[in-house]
Amino acid sequence: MTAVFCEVFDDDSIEIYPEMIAANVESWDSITHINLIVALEQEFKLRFNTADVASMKNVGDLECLIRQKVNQA
Amino acid sequence: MGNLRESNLVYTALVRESKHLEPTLVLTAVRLALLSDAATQQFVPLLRVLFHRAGFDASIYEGHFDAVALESLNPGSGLYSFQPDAVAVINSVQALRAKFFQRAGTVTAFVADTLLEIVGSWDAILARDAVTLLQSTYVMPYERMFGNFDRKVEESFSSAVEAINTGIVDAARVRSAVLINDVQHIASWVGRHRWFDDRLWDMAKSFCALDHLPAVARNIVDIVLSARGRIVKCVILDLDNTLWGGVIGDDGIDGIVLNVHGSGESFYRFQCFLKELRKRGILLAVCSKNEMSNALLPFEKHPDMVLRREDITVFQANWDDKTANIRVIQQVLNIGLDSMVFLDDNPFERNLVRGVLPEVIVPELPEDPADYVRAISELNLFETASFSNVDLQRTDLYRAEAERRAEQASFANAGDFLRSLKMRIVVARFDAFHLPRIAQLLQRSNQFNLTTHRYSELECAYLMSSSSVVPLYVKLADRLGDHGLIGVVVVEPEGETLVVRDWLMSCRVLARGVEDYLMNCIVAEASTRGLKTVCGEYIRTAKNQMVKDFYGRFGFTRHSGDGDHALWSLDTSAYESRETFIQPVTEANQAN
Repeated sequence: MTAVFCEVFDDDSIEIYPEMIAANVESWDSITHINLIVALEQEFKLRFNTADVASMKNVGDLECLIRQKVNQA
Repeated sequence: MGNLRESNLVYTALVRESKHLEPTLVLTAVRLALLSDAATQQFVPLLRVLFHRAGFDASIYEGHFDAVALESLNPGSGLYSFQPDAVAVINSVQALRAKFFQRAGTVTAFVADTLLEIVGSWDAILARDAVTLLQSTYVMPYERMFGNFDRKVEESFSSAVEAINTGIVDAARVRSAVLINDVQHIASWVGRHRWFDDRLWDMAKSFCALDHLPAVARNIVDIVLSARGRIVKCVILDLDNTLWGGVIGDDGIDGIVLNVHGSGESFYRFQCFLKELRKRGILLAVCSKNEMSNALLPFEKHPDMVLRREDITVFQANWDDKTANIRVIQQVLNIGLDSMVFLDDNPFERNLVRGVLPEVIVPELPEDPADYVRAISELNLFETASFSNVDLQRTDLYRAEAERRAEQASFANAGDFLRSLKMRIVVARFDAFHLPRIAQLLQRSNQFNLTTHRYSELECAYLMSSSSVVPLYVKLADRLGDHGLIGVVVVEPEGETLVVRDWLMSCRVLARGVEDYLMNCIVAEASTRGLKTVCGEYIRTAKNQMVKDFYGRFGFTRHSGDGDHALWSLDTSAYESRETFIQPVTEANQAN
């Protein structure tokens, strides 16, 4: 997951943590958010629902959701 | 252009690349405005990378979201203060769908109103700025309220979208500055099933699934570049295992694989494709490692050959290095290496040409010849921004030129030869009838072009109606054929001086005295107007070295500037008129 963040934000020094939110990363805007979602989908071969994306509050939620979906598969 | 074709078009890789674009000195500036009812932000990094790969530094203006009409109708809008060279209007079927389902009136009225708004925006933009305008087509929607019967119901959404697309194309056909960005073609190639991502539309108004945004961006870049004269003029073909299966020298005329149906059909289909390209004005040349007599055999004797000897403008079959033969082809045709595509089934030859002549476009060819046409089509190599009757005659023009060269050899001196040609020239002010060809020549001429101002057709129309400027076109014909419109000279009196703003000519007609004839005309024009000086300008580009000292050859003095941009002037009283063998005629008489 960190690797995907580094790729999308083009910053190899990014470290992610559960409480992290968009405001913590300078270039995290609505467009990079879409880029991030799609990159994670491709990396973990899963698909987020619109509701999933809307309900995520922070990186912790995101990680939780990915785990859930990977385990279901 | 070569790089652009082979590049990977992966969205995330392109976005990343956009953050690390190397600044280089040779980039040409291009100013592109994006107007859309979808998000434009996602296109920006892709466009910048693809332009950069093609040698262009793109400045991109993003219009306000869903404000195409507002931006185009308001003279004080950001669009106009940006002063774009090109405007891309990108319309999404997702936005159209929302409007369709909220319509108050009939579907017919909806279609008419939508078209009125689109075309109204174009005309507002074109009335203010001389720009190239790219209009997208709508991607066909996936929902069918009537099932297959949808097609038969004029009021269905899909029928409405189809009617709007047809209306867009019809309106663009009568506006040469409007070019179609056929997004519907790209989407249908990908498949609508994979094209749309409605979640991303809902979240961020993304135009389509991110994977396919690069194809849309590439399409925009292709069109903008073609409007700026980056076009393919010639396809160079290998023979064995490219135009037919097998080796003619070993297998003989009965042994090579080529049929209308069956195992050789893929080669037949490929040849049909090439023949259509030739018919639309793309020159075909052959570059083959073969004995000439063997290479010609199928063209003359094989019943299923689609291409015949007369379809090939330059035929090089020998055992020399292919890059040497490509140089010969380039010299005979007098066109840039970057306007040539080299097609060869042999990876060794492709890599050799890529290494030695990197400007030449060398696409990968698939192993299976059945896929040749499809693979080449996917690369969109033959983009153009205009099409006229001259394109259709081009192959004939070049063949007549080869004949002239053969005759030239038999005359004792050049003067006798030129006299024998019985050249007839027309020099006349721009008129509406010739504008498309004039604009095309302005876009395409690279080598004999002193200032390389790429006026669009609209800008040419402004020149045509100007009272101070004298914009002239030049047509040439001779005993062996009609060259058509081959030159443009724009002069303007300024104080005591006649200034030559533009002078460009097709390289096909050099060394026949046309430049001497025109210089005589220009000096005579200055004298008639009582002007003492003629002033000329040279602006260096990558391709116009040929005319670097053009004015010097006529006795002009360079009085300022360096090798990149020089100003020259001539005292008209000191000029000695040049001898030419060209007869001036009027437009009406030239045909005789």
